[in-house]
Amino acid sequence: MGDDDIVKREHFANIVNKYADMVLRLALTYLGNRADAQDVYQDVFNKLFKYERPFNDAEHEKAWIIRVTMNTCKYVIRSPWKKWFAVIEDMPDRHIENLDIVSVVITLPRKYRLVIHLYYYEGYKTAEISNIFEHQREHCPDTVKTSKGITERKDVGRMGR
Amino acid sequence: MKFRTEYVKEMNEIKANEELKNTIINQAASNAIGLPTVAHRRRSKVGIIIASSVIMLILFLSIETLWIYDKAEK
Repeated sequence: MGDDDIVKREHFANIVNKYADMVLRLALTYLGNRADAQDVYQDVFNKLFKYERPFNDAEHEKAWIIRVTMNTCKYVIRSPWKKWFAVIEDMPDRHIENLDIVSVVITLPRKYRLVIHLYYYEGYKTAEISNIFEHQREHCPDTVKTSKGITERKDVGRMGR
Repeated sequence: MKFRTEYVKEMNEIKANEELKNTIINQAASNAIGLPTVAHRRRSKVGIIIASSVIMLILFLSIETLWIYDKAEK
């Protein structure tokens, strides 16, 4: 292994350590099951390792990882395997079931889940989320607004329990 | 605000598995990207179960057909 490979490996290990939790949480929010989320997590880092072009800065790198995670999740949902064997694979995740709010969020329509996660957990602003969801830029502010509305209702519902 | 606080608190409990992290890093180091992922392994198991069930069914039907023919001849 040459010096370049060692440097590349160390850089890759740093990125994996930095973003591993973020990718897993995003995938888990979108897919609602840990097994698929771990597959996506593995795929995303495989793609990152193979990605040749340099990133402009850390924010660009993070946004790239978020978009690739989102696209990989969509690919998993669309795959024929998922359609045919959903009953076998979508076993309830005990770990998530113990988390009150997260288990409510993963029951929401998929387009709101990531927006809620990015807004409330990652701390992105509406405009930044629009930039990440490039192709749905015009609809994004509405989605964020609706997501906020949903979370407020869920919050109120939860507090009323 | 309460939603954000609780959501962040719960999300912080979800952490990536150290073992999987190391596997990914080691795969990259050995240039072995493309090794079967967790999904591939799980799907192969289900695939093997389905394939063996189909083979068993075919065998059962063949034996039964032979048995019926044999009985009919007698």
